[in-house]
Amino acid sequence: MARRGARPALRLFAALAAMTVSMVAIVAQLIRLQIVDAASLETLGAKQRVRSVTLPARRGTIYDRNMVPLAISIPARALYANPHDVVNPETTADALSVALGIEKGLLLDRLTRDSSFVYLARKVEVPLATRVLALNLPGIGAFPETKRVYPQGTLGAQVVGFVGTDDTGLAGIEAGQDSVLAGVPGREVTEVDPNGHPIPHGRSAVTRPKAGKDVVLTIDRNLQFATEDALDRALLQTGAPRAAAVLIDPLTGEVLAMANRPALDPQLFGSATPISIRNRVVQDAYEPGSVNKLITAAAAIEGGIALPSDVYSVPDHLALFGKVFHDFAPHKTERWSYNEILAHSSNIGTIKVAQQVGRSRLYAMLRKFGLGEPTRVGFPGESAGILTTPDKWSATDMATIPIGQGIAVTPLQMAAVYAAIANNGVWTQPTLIKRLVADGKAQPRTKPVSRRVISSFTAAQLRGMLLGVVETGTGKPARISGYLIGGKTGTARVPLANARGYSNQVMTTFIGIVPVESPRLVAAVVMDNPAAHIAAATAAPTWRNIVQFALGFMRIPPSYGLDPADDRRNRSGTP
Amino acid sequence: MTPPENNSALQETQVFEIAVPQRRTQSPRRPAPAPDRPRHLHAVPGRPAPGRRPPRPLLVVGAVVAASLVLALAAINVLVGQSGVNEADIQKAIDAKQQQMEMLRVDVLRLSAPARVHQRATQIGLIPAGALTYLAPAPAGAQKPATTTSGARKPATHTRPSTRTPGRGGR
Repeated sequence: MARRGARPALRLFAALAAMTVSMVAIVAQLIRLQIVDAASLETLGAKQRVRSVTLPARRGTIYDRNMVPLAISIPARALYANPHDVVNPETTADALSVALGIEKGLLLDRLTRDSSFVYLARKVEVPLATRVLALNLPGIGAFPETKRVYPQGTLGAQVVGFVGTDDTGLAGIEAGQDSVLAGVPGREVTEVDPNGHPIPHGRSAVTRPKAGKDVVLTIDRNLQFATEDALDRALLQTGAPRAAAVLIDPLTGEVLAMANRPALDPQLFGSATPISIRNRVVQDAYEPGSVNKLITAAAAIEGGIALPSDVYSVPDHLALFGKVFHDFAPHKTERWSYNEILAHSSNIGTIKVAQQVGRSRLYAMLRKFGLGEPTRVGFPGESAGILTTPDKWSATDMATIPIGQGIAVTPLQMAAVYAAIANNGVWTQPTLIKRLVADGKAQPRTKPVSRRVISSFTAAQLRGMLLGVVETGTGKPARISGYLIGGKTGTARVPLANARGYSNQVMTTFIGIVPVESPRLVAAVVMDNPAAHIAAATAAPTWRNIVQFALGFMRIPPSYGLDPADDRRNRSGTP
Repeated sequence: MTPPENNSALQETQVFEIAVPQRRTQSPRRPAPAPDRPRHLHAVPGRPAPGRRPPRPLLVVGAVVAASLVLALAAINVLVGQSGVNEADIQKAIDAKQQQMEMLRVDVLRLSAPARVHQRATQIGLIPAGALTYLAPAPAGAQKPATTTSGARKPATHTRPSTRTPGRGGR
C-alpha cells in the first residue's frame, strides 16, 4: 500500500519539477527577449516592418531686392516602383519609357531588382507624373517633392548659384545660404508588410517639414540684366573672352548688380564650363593695375605728404633698384601736378609719390581699405586677395604695389575702395543679402560693418582727382552727358601661371563714381584680355553703357549747377 | 389582453371542474396556506400557447427606438464618412489648384524676365526710348524761378542722348 501510495506523489513531484523547469525556461526566455535583447530585437523588428520616408521641406525662395523670385521651388513628383508588385516588367518598362523618355533597358533593370523600392525618375513635373499614374501600372507610384527652377534664366546665375538633385546648394547663394534656405525636413513613419504595403491600423507617424527661409538679395534684376547685356556686347566688341562688373550703392554698401560673363544656365550646370560657374567679382583675385594708384594717393594726402596741386617732375621712365620702370606712353619730362599724374595715369609720378609715402604707411592704407581680407559680402568662397606684409616686400615691390602690380584684389574689394571714397572716407562692408524672411516676416539683420578710413577732406580731394581723370585724362570714354563722373582706368599684365614674370595678356579695369559731387553709384568693370590692351578703349566704354542705363533707371538727376550751355557738358559720351 | 376570469360569456357556456394537485408541503416558517378550493377555468379557443408571453407595448416602443437610434447612428456615420471623403476631395482639389497656380506663376515670371522682354521687344521692332530731358532748378538769387510755362526764362536743361537698346524699359 505504501509503495502504491508513493507513486502518485513521485509522479506529482516529477510533473511539478517538469513544470517548474519549463516555467523557469519560459521566464528566462522572456527575460532574454523582453529585457536583455529587447533593444536589439526591437530595432531588428522595426527595420523589417517600419518604413521611414523623409518629407522634403520647401526650399526658401531667392528674391531680388524688389521681391522678384530669382530661384523658386515648384511642386514635382518622384516616380518610384515596388518591383515586387510589378506584374510584367517588360510591358511596364515599355510604357514608362514612352511616357518618361527614359531608355527602356535602364527602367527594366530597376523594375527587376530584388527590392521593394526603386526610383524611376526624380523631379518629374506634376502633369507628366499624373499622366504616368493614369496608366495604372501595378507597382508604380509617386510621392511629392520639389524642383528648383530659375525663372529669370541666366540672369545673375553665378550669384544665385544652383542646387543638386537632392536640393542641396552647390554654388552661389544657394550654397552659401543652404542652411537657411533648406529648412528642416519632415518624416513619415509607416508599418509595412514584407511586400511594402502599409499594415492596416499599424503604427503611422508624420512629422511635418518646416519650410526654409527666403533670402532677399540686394540685386535689382533690371540693373543686373542691363549690366549683363552691356558685358555681352562688350565681349563681342572687344574680343575679350571674359568680363565681370559690379554696381554698389556707396552709402549703404548694397550690391545692386553683380555680373559675370560668359553666361551660365543654372538649370544646365552639369554641362557648364568651370570658368562660367565662377563669380569672378568675389572669387577671383587679379592684379588691379592703375586703379590702385588711388590708394597711394589716399595715403599721400591723408599723411600730409602731397596735395593734388603739388607739382612733380615726371620723366617717362625711372631706374629703381636695378629695374627700369616706364609710363604707358613715352613723353618728355613733364612738370605735372599730382592731379595730372593721376589723370595721365603716370607710373613714374605715382612711384615718386610712393617713395615719399613709405612702405608702412602705404601698407596701412591698403589694409584700412580692406585689401588682403575678404569683404564678407555673404558669398561663399570669397577670395581675400593677396597682400603680403611690408617685411616680405622686395625692393621693387615699393615701386610695383603703388601702381597696382604685385598685389591681387577682387573687383568687389576695389569697388568697395572707391565706394569708401564716394562715401566721404567711410568704408562700408558690401552686402549682397538684404534680409531673410521666415513665414512672411523679415528676420533681424546684422548691420554691415563700416569704418572711417580717411578723412572727408582727403575723400573730397580724391574725388576731385578722379573727376580730373575723366574730364581730361585716360577716363574720357566714360563720360556721360549731364553728369560729373570720377573714375580711374587700370590696365595690368597677367602674371604667368607657373613661372615668375608676366604674360602678354592684360586685365583692363574701370571704376567710377557718379555723380561725383553727390555720389549715388559706384561701378566697376573688369575685362579679361581684350583685343585692345587699353582700359580706356574697353572697360571704360562698357562702364559708360552700364551706368547710363542705371542713371535713368535709378532716377539719378544730372549734376546740377553746371552751365547747361557749356558745350563740353552736353557732348556725347564718346571720346 | 383581457384575463379569462373576467369573460362572463364564457363562464356561462363552458364551465369545467378539474382536479388541482395537492400543493407540496410549505416550509414551517411560512404561514399555512388557505385550503384549496376548486377553480373554474375556461378553455379559450385560439389562446396563445402556454409559455409565450404576449409582447408588451413598452418593449415594442423600446425596440423601435433602439432600431431608430441604430439607423440614425449608421446614417450619421455614413454622413460623416461622406463629408470626410468630400473634404479629402476638396483638399485634393485645392492642392491641385495651388500647384497649378505655382506653375502659372513660374510661367509668368519666365515670360516677364528682362531677357525675354528685351528679345520680344527687339523682334517686334521697338526702338530705343527718346532722350531724357531734365529741368534744372533755378540758380540761387535768380529773379524768377525756372519754369516751363512762364516763358520769362527758359529752363536749363541737360539732354542725355539715349544709347539704350530696344525694349530695355525706362521711362
